[in-house]
Amino acid sequence: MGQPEVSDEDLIAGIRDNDVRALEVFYDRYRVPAYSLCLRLLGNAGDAEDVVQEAFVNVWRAAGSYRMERSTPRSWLLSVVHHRAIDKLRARQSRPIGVELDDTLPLPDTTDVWREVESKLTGETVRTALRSLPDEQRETLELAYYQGYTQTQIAEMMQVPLGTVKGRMRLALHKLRSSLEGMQSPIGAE
Amino acid sequence: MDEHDLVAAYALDALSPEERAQFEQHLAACQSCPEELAQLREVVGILPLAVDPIEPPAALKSRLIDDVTGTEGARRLHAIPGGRPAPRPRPHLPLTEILIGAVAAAAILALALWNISLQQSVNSTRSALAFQRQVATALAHGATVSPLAGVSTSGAAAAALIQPRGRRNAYLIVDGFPSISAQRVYELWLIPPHRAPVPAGVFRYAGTAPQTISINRPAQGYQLAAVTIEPGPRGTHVPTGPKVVVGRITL
Repeated sequence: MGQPEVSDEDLIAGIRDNDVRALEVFYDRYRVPAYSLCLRLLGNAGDAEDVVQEAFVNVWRAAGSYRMERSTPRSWLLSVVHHRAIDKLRARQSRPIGVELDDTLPLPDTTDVWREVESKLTGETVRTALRSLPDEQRETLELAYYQGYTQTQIAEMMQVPLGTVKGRMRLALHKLRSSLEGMQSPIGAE
Repeated sequence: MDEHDLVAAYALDALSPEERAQFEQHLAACQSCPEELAQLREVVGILPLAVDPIEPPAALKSRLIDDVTGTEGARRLHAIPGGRPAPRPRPHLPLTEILIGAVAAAAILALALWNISLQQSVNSTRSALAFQRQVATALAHGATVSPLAGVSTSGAAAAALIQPRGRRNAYLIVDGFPSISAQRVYELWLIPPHRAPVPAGVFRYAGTAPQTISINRPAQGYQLAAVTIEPGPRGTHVPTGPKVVVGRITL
């Protein structure tokens, strides 16, 4: 019989205590989504490796500032990965944005409902939810998140007013949330 | 412009620096945006799951572990104020550190870069004897030394990057570095050909004698090495401060 799996929160606590083994387990657990995201954004294996390494080093150094009530360790890590990949991508265009994660922002805590939803998500579930979005919203999300374009660049590329891009982004994220919550809720649960 | 409309683009990292600053200013005073941003960030947090999974190279894990243990080693050696608490002792680290001092000093002795007293690297007769043996071992195995020259504004600063043959780690010897404020640290960068500098560890310089800093990655594959002055205690991910020394890596 196998050992019960150590929770992500326990791994972060271990990393906070400078336990390299905890970092190794955390890395093994999330190396694939982290690397895949970087490769998608950067299109270059060397750069993707650099960003993944930097992101996990960031987790190692900043584990003390992680707030469990704010996000899951997975979301936290992947946010760091995305921020750093975007930074590298825009630095290539000679216009670094200097994106840094700001965990000091006065935001409400993550709800238990969402935490439950997130814990059951798979790649296929998220892809299905994305496919359910109207084309223009999905394309806007794709350009912003997976390709790293700014809202202004997207407006130029799609030849629509900036306000339309803003609206599409907002609608897309809210719809995605509703869709994922709907997929995860058992029938009759309200 | 209605700043509320920027909330989704902010969550997606799709704002310019100016727009981002503008929205953050708005966020601090807005009643509704913090809650909406928190909800949108949760959704954004699951978007990576939709990407087709690709396995990274196995060597990346070793690089990561080398990186964090190397950083820790440097911090333990120089006790940077305000840094992370000292890590729990791990059995292999003291030996590594002793070896680092030995190999680095061996290379220095061999090339007469600096007149380091062995007694400055050890604090007892017993460890001095062990040190002597390690010096002999390091010399027998050989090492290459890449001198890093001080820039014109850094006075008598000098350094050398030591790469023992066949080892996965390297050492940096520094001497004559200028005094810097307590809020700053020295940061070593290894620079591959046509690529961005890679941060390789931070350290302080006590200013009384040459110091040895461990680098838990080999110097192979890098073209240049440089040390800059960066914000402490953790340094930065891209060089921002003035260069102190710089030189070509010759292996």
